[in-house]
Amino acid sequence: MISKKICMIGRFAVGKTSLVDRYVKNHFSEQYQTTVGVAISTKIMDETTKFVIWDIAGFEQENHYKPYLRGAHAIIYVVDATEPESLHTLDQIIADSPELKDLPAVCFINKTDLVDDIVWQDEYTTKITDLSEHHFWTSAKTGDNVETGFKTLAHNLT
Amino acid sequence: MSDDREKLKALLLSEEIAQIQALQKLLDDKEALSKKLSEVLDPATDLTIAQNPNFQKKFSKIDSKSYVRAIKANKQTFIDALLPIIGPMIRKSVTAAIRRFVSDVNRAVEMGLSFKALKWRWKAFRTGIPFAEIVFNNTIEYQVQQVFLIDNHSGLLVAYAGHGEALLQDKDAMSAMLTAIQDFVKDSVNADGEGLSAAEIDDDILWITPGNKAKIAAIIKGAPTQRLRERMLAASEDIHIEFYQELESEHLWNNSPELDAELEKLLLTKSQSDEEQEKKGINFWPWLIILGGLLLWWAWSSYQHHQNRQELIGLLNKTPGFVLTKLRFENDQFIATGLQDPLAEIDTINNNLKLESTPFLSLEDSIIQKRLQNLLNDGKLQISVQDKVVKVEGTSHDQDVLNNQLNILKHQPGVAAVIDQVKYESSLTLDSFLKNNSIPSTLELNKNDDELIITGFTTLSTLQELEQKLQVFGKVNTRAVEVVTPAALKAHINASPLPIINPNSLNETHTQHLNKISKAFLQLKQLQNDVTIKLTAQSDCQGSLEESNEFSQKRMKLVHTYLLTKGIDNSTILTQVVECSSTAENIDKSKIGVWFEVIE
Repeated sequence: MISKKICMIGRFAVGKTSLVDRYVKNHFSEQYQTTVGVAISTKIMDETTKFVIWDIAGFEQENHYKPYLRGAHAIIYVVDATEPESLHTLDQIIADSPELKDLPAVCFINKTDLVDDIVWQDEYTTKITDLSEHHFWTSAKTGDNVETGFKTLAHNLT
Repeated sequence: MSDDREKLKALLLSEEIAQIQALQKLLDDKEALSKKLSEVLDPATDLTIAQNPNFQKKFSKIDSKSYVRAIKANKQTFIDALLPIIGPMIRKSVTAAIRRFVSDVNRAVEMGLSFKALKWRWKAFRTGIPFAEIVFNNTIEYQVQQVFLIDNHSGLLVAYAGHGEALLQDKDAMSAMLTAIQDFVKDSVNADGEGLSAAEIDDDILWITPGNKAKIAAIIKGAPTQRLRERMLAASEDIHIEFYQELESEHLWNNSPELDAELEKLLLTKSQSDEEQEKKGINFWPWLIILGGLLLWWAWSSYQHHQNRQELIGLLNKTPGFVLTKLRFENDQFIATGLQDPLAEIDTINNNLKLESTPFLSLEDSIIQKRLQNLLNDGKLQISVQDKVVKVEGTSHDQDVLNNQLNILKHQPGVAAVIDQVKYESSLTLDSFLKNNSIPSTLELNKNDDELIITGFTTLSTLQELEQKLQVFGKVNTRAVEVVTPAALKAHINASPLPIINPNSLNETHTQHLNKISKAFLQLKQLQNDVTIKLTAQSDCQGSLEESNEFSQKRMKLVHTYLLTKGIDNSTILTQVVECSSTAENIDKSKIGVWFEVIE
């Protein structure tokens, strides 16, 4: 079995940890707890692949996250469907670490369960397409498309 | 309408209204309310607690600030209250500390003196490992429970080994988290270093051993030693050399039995680590130290041998009566070849020396001196020799014997001249001397602690002769000796007539005069035996002839009798009375008396 380092990237409170919890533990908590540094989770994707998921915090502090990105096999970008500004954070990360664009990636547009609060425009989708050809409207709360997103990434990696 | 309602209310509820007003009054009157409540508070509390046990917890809530305030306000009260509690606690703590200290001391003493401790000290010396670490190794256990080989770059697990029961966590997550923590430490605290190298996880210890491509993380139970750290470093280096391909190829990660087996070797216990350490090659240091010690010992021995040889050559060359021709070392012993006078003194035992010498007669001063001393064999004579001239000092009792001895010395080889500085001493004691030599009867000899004291009288020559003889017995004191001469005594006697007017008795002047005469004569008699004293009595023949002659007779008799009383023998006294043949007209006192004359 081959382990793959997967890094979750996104602005704070976009739901990175919730997505991981949903996928790994099939669990969701309404209570928000900010991640300090990095949280590690693993998930066996299939007989040959195991994801070691690095849920990285601290994107608001310049460059502090960079060491955690070293050696990543793939990136999961996470944005908040109710907070288009979170897309701007991804732009800054890519600007700081352009090598990430070369890695296989998927993008999760999260919090789709908050239907009334979604503020989304087509231009945002265009931007996301620049980062990853695969993007998924996900909800950590309901689990919508979460597993599909991870599995798509696993498929791309193999 | 309103009035009717009030009237109706008064009619129907007047009693209740009065009770309500009474209750209101009670509520408004705090003192009365407190009094009323106090009557039911205690039973009400008991009842509430009985029905609801959690109610009591509300009273147990601790307000820490109130405690702090109370303590600050009443320090002494709290001190007084706590002292009985704290005192025994402190005593107990101190007692425990002392016990631990005594135990440590006992242990240290045991460790210092036991056979095991000596064995460990030898091991420390032999292997170069500090003694403290050996003691630690032998008394503290540890076990490596899990070993992770983690890719530095990604934090992914490359290989893993661990005891089955120890695997409590997801090893991939563990690897990633360790890497994340190390990156965090490196970025936050120690940017230039290796980052985290050790940590404690509950009772376990985490060691991270850095490597170029991958790091080894080990979780250890117990107390690992520095030796294990070195072992980990060596293993990391070996893995990077032997498993380079596996470290580079991600598809081999977690998929290399050989690498797993290599990591399993690191699942060491203390004893395994020790065995490996002992198996691992030969430590040349002890042998180098021993070799160095032997070389030092050889160099020191050679130096000592050389020094001893030089000292021995110097000693033999300085030894009178020995002429060294060769010195060699055989069978752990120096052998000296040369010429040796029988009187030469060489300490062969203390110098580990054997002599192979040819006898000869040494003419060195010290040997001549020794030879002559042996020849004389007289403890009272000391011989010194300088430039072949022999000086003999000391005392001798027999001049003839001494002369013979000196004569022999003169004819010994190497003797150019003999100087006699021997003092002759009589061998007699004073008593034996006095037995064989009579002291003149006019003298008396007495002895005290310091000197011989001679008293009496004698002639100068006699006194000097006696003094010389007595000097061998000590200091002679002759100050009390009266030195006389026969001639002087004779002259004194002959020139000292005794004028006596009264023929019937001698006065004091007469007796004193006669005492002197008798003494002088007795001295003279002792000095010159064949002398007599002649007494001649006469008068001035004034008056009648019969009377003058009678008086002369009387005067003669008085003097003669007195001299006899003074010890003069009668046979040595001649008497003569000059009788008057005619009378004289005038009295002439110078003709009245007794005259003395010594006759030889």
